[in-house]
Amino acid sequence: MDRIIESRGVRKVYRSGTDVEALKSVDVDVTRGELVAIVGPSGSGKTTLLNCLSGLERIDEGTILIDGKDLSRLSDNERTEHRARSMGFVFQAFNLLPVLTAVENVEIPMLLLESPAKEARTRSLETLELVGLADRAQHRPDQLSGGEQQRVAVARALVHRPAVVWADEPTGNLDSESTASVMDLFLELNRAGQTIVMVTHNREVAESAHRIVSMRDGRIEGGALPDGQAAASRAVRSDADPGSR
Amino acid sequence: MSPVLVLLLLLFLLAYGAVAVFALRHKLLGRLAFREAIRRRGQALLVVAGLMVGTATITAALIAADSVGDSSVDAFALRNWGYVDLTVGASNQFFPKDVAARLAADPNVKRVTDGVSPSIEVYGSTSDLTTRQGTSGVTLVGFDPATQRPFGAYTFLSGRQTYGNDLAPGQVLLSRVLAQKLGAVAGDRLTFQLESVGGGGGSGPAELRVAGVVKLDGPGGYTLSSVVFAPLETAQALVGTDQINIIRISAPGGIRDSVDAAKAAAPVIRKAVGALGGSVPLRVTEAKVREIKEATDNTVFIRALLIGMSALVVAAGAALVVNLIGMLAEERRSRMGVLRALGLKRRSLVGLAVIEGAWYSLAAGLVGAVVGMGVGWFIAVRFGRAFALFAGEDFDFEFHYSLKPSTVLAGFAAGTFLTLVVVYFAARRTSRMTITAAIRNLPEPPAEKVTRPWPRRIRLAVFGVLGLLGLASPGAFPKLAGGIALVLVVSALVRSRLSPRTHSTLTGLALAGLSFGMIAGQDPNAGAGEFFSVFVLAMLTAVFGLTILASANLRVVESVVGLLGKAFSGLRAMLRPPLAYLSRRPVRTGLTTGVFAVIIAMLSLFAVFFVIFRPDYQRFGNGYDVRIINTGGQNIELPPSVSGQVARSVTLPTLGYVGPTKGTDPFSNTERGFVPLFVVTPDIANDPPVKLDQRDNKYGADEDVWKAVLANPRLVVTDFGSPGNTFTLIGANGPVTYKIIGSEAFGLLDGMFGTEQTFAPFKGAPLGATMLIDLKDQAGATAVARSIERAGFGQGVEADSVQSLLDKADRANRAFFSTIDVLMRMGLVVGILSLGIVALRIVVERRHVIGVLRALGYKKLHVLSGLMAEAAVTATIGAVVGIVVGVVMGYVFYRQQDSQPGFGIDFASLGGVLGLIYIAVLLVTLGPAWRASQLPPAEAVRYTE
Repeated sequence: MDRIIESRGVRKVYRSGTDVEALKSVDVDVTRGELVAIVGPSGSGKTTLLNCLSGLERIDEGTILIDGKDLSRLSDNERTEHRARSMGFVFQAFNLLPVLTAVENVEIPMLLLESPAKEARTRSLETLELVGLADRAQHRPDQLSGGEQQRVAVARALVHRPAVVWADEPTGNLDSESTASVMDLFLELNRAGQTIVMVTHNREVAESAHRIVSMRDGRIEGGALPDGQAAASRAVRSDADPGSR
Repeated sequence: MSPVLVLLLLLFLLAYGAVAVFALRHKLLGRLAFREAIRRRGQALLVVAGLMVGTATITAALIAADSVGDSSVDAFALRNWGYVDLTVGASNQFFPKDVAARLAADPNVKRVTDGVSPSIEVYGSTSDLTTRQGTSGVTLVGFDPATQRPFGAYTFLSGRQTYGNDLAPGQVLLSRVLAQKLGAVAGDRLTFQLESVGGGGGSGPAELRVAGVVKLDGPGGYTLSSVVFAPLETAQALVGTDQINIIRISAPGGIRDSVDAAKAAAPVIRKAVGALGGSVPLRVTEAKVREIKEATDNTVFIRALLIGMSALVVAAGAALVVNLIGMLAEERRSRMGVLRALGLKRRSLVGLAVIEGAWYSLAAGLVGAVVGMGVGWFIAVRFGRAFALFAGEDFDFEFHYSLKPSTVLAGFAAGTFLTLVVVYFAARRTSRMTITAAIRNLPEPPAEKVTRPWPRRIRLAVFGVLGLLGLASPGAFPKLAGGIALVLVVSALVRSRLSPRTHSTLTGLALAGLSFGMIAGQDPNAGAGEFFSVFVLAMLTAVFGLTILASANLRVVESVVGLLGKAFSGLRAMLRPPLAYLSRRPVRTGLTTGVFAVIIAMLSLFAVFFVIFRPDYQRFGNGYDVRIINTGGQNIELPPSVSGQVARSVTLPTLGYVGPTKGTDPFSNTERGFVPLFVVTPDIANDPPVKLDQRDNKYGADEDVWKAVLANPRLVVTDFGSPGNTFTLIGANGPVTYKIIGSEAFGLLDGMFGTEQTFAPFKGAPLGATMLIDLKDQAGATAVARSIERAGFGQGVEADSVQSLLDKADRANRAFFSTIDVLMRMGLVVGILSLGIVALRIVVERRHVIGVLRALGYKKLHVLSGLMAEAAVTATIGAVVGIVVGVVMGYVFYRQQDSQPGFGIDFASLGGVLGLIYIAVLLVTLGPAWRASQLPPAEAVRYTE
């Protein structure tokens, strides 16, 4: 099996007054082309896990291999470069730059990779077309609906063809119609081979994933490894609790 | 207490009283506001530092204006005249000495005066035979020891005093100014030369003996210039007459408190003089009263200049206050959102901000008043230096720093009131929030469209009508204000039909064009108040217009960066977000860049002035290298060693007018002005000694001006006013008013050019000569001047190189501009502080965006460089807009003075300022940018969630 993410013994402590151990020796793997949902009650460490796996946060102990590269050994600059090259992000609040148009927002990762301006523009427009927003390319975020903004965010996450797309509550701010539309998009992308890891508290959204990783108090309760996918999924479906850290 | 001070105090009490009442009625808000104000001491200090700008600037400008006014009155009216309050005389005519005695004997006159003294006042040259130094432009004051007591005693430098009774025949006193010029001390032998006074001939140079050098106090301060004080009999012998030409009268009250008494005495004395009869028509002049009025009037220009320039800095300070309030609001948005959710009304939120702002503003007012006193002193000292340079070495000008409690109170009240008003409007703006978005610190959703358009329509209609009324009015200021209102109304009406970029571009162009047009069309002879109010409004409007134009077109910069991006990979990605923030938030960008632009516009204007007013030696000197003056005689004989070096020369017979002058221009009004009258003959007019600096628009060339001067005895060339203005002197038969049709450059031949017929009313004035010589080798001008002075010391000849004279005038000009420079540099500090505050705002406001960018792959260096670049671009827009406005305005002024030598910019001074600005900008933004770059991406993203 082609594992794109392998983490072993990941520990993360937040130090502010009293130490809070957000992740306690977490092991989790993701196979290339998988769509994984991380679920768990509020404060269980879902978002922290996503941030650590994606290299947004440093870990205190353990190893995280992305495509065989150990993130914990990389400097801040190297991790940043790695994110720019191999990862895409979708956030709950869309997080588009309000002063840029849709296509300009989508272009950012391409420009960071120093792609020629023309190529960046062409690819961004193609990606917007892929998410069904070709006609909204020149609109600013405040001229788009929530669902449209999130689709622009997805386009931004995909435009540079990253190895993994990380999505933190991607449907958390959307109505049911937009949620369905965004999830259809994720599933379509995943069918095309895109690896996606998402944090969610939405039961329906989680159920559409290949595998559900369930967390509680900073530990994985089930679904950590692809082999245990079915059992974990069943276990999670019975007691998953909405909310996220 | 002046009405302005009363009004300011009233406004202050009303504003702060209202805030206090509100705080007392809403104790919770009052408590919250106080705690917010003291919660972060560093931040509170920053806010107080920003808010004090208004008070500091206003206080500094008012104190400097007071200092200029008081020093002028002190020098030109009080010390200058001493105990003399009124004079009786006939222009350049002598009359019997017993007239004074008869006047003094009049019981009515006796009742209203302290003393009446017969005197002589004439001009000439003097030479110290002991030190072998000579000088021209010396006043000989003949005083009557018998009646001197009410006019005070002369005080020797040693402290000894004399009324002149103890001076032996031939003994004289020298003023300290003259003694310094001649290097004279008691016991020196002296000659005084004058010719053709009052129709009689002088007795020729007679040898005098210096009894001592007297202080510039009391009677010794008379004229504050080069004076030989001689007992009347000695003076009469020198002049060759037994008559007098002036009666000096002292009113009760001493030097400083005699104004009211002098006013009361004047009609009594006029009546008494009228009853005296006699062949010579005598005129009574309220010399000191009028001099005080003229000195005060002359400082109106300086006061208007200082207040106008400080208004520019205050405007920049207001923008800084808005930025500060914005910074506080950004930081507290979440907390305020919670308060709103808990039931606090928007009005109360504004109240909360205003109460806090009032605390800050009061503290800032106190600090600002103290800072203003310091800056005011600094400006006053510079004015003192400029005045001293303009007055020349021959005038003892002492500058006093005037610190009046009423002025400081006015500065405090005005500054704190204005600050509170700005805080109120800024708080109203920042109190608009979507509660849910504010609590979660999410970006504000777009504002909903106004459903009721009629209030806006009414506002536009009112503005439109006011604009039309302004345009129709005769004054330049209402015209400009009306024009601005109309441009804004039209801009609002067409807004929905144009793209934002086109809309901002056209509005900006219209505002800038209107402002430049108004400045170009402004009447140069308008009053100082109107001139500076139009200038300040036009400058602010042009800057604002071009700033919104530049902000809306920042895409051009983006495109340039895009082109550069081909060569420098990653640059485009790094700069796109900061440039987008600048270009798509034009109001905020305009606010920050505008602060810079206003100040840089002024500094650019100065950079233009430095060039267009620079000494053009060849042109202003008309090829001449040395100027020689002899006020004691008509002949100037060059020593043989110099004659051989002369390529050409011209000698102008020169009358020395001393008396009241009245002109349209500021500074040309005085009760005892000295105006050399240069007599122009047809030969001289064919090859004029000077090229004109300015001429009346009616004349196409200098030759036409000189022809007109020859043809019409009422037309003159002078630098005591601008072409088109008038200049009035008092002739034998009363006032003579001339029209100025051309002006020579200041510094070389300061005086008035006319024909013999032009100056016929001054026939009795002492006749001297002024000579210009063109050397075969101009490099030796200074040495030649010294040789001439040495050879002619016996006649009191004065010689200077043309270059040194023009340099002296240029130094005076620069010293004058340097006074305003202090205020402008205060403005620069405001601009730089503004950028630092904006950078701090960015760290708070864009924390979330920075986190997203970091997540997407922006490195720390990208964030740091991006924010620094944003600050640099903001400063650059400000600099470009400022330079454009300053240079265009400079060009407009240059065109108004159509005979200036050439247009240009002093790149060295401007470049130096710009270099300092960029260094300061980098320094103040580095800290916040560094903090932003160190934000952990996950934390920054989580911040909003």
